[in-house]
Amino acid sequence: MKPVAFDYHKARDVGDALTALGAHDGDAKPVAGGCSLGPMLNLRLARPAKLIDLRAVGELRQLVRAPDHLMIGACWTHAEIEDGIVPDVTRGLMRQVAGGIAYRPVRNRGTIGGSLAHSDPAADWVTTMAVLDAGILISGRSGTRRESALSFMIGAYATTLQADELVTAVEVPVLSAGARWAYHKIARKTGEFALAIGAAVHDPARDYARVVCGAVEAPPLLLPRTSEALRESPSAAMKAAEAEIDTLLSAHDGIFKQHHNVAIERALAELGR
Amino acid sequence: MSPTSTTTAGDYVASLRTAQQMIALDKIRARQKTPEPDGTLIGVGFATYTEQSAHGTKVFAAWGLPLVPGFEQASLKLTPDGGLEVRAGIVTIGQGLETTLAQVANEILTIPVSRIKVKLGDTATTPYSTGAYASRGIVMAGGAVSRSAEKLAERIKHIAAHLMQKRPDEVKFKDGRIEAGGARLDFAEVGRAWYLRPETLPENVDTGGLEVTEGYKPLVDGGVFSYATHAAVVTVDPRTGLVKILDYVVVEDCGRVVNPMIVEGQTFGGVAQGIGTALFEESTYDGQGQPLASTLMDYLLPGPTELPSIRMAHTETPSPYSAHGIKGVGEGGAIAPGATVVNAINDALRSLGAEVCEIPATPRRVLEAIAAAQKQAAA
Ligand SMILES: Cc1cc2nc3c(=O)[nH]c(=O)nc-3n(C[C@H](O)[C@H](O)[C@H](O)COP(=O)(O)OP(=O)(O)OC[C@H]3O[C@@H](n4cnc5c(N)ncnc54)[C@H](O)[C@@H]3O)c2cc1C
Repeated sequence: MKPVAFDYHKARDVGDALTALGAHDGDAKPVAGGCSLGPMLNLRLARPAKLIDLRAVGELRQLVRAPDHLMIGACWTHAEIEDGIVPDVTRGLMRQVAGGIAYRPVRNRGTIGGSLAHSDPAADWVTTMAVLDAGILISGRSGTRRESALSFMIGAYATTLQADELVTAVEVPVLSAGARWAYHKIARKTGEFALAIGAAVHDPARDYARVVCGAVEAPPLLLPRTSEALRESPSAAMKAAEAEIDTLLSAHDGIFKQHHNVAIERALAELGR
Repeated sequence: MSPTSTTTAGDYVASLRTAQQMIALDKIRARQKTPEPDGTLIGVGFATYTEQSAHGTKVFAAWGLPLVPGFEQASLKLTPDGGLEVRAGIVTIGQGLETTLAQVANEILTIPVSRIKVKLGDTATTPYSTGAYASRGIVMAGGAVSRSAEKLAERIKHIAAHLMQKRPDEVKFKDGRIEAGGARLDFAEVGRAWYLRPETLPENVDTGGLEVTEGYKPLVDGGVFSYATHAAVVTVDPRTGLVKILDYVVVEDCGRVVNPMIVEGQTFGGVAQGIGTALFEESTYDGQGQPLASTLMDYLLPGPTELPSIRMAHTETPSPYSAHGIKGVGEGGAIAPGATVVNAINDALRSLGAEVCEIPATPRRVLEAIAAAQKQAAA
């Protein structure tokens, strides 16, 4: 099984990529690492007329540090984040998450922008950006916009991104010195997508507490009550979590809920240690 | 099956005992008395099996299969330079038959393996074969190489005796050379005589020359039985249903071992495949009959991090029915892991009264078993 024939264009800059994307009536598709798009092409689940290669676009490899956030260009790879080539302003959270994505060959090519644009509900950046309340920077021919990670993703493999828009970067908040985080991924084997993810960040100096349940076959699930309870303590959050997950995931069966409960429970236990 | 019957020659009890010792059953039982700090449960499991290998003509005919294997053949040729060519119809798919068949020929002719060229599975140049299956390669093709080598040996000895002015029964092969009562000759000299200097050959030389094709099958068609015991130690996380294999041992007996490295390689690979069966591999379908595991993203295979370091011990009970007492070993490794791993899981779950009865033992199946036990306990 091989892709249908497609044209290839190596974009020079974001403007060039956007023009190329617009020219084909929505039939062109950007490609970054190709780790998700490649298999979809081979299975003919995606049949774009043209691929717009983003990897030579310097603007998508920017790193811009502001006092309260780091802007990371969309084309930085999981491996570059894992290795600390991209500075980690999340006190180790992003490096740990990156190291747990797939296998090294996938991490060498797969990009943070590609992962977010693809929006596999079980993907790790999707949940990580949500728990950090990161911003997604988007460019189209009519301008740029910023969305919060949680509002960017609207369903499994569905985002607010238009066919002629690009994810150009993510804005990752800088965690304070006293911030705590935990990320617990339950997967059947090394390098697999998650069965369940529990993610928590508590940053009292920024008055920030968030607990997110990932890999729910939908956008990451924010647990507002549990997050609120986390301001008090991880154990208070743990008490709130089970009932909240049971309610919010009521459409799923017991085992699905149990996996998510355990992921959250273990993330919170780690936070309390 | 009685372990003393000749069909299943071997000491099955000793095999199980050895596995018990290697896996340190006592230590595991002691460890199970105190809860694991991370809340997981430890279990140990065993499985012993026999593997029917190289079963043939009568068995396949009785099954009414369209294809019934008969004699396996091999052609051997002493080349003018004193090297050996082995041609057999069996195919190699990475199981190392090039090496083991050369070893069988070497055993009889002593020509070094490095001077033996093995050619397999080519309908233009090798004898007919029904192929590689039923762990039959080394038993069937090995037997055929052995038969052909013995016949070729007689012809070589006859020519060599004449060249050395000795009796054929005085001629012996040793370390790649021909000897008779203190006299020595190279295989190349016999090759040279046949191919280039036929005037030096004995009057009554076998006109078949230095090329022999012989056929072989074991004395019985019912197969020669390899056997093994596998043992595993696992942890089960009763909250997630995830299983991790901590230790895995194999005590195997494939009769006369032709090549220990290949036996171990075949067994390692088989166990890896079997662990896939035990924990990961499954073709699932939805209610409409759509396959749900159509790529390797969904059809999970174990990777290096899911596989334990397998420790192995060998016993050697030759088959009374096959050439050199060899039994098949190609597929055996994959037989026991399903039973071994699930027995270990169920040992771990014993305290919860739960039992997994289906493979692969996915996290979901493990959790369902635990939930069913809890429900039963509550009722
Ligand atoms: C074997 C395997 C295991 C994996 N395991 C995991 C895992 O455990 N966790 C996990 O999170 N992920 C996992 N992945 C997914 C991997 O992380 C993604 O393939 C990768 O992040 C996608 O990035 P990419 O650069 O390769 O995107 P591509 O494949 O190039 O593109 C993916 C999609 O995004 C679009 N796109 C790409 N870049 C942009 C952009 N800048 N703007 C707009 N649209 C864009 C493309 O058009 C396409 O639709 C796995 C993948 C494989 C192959």
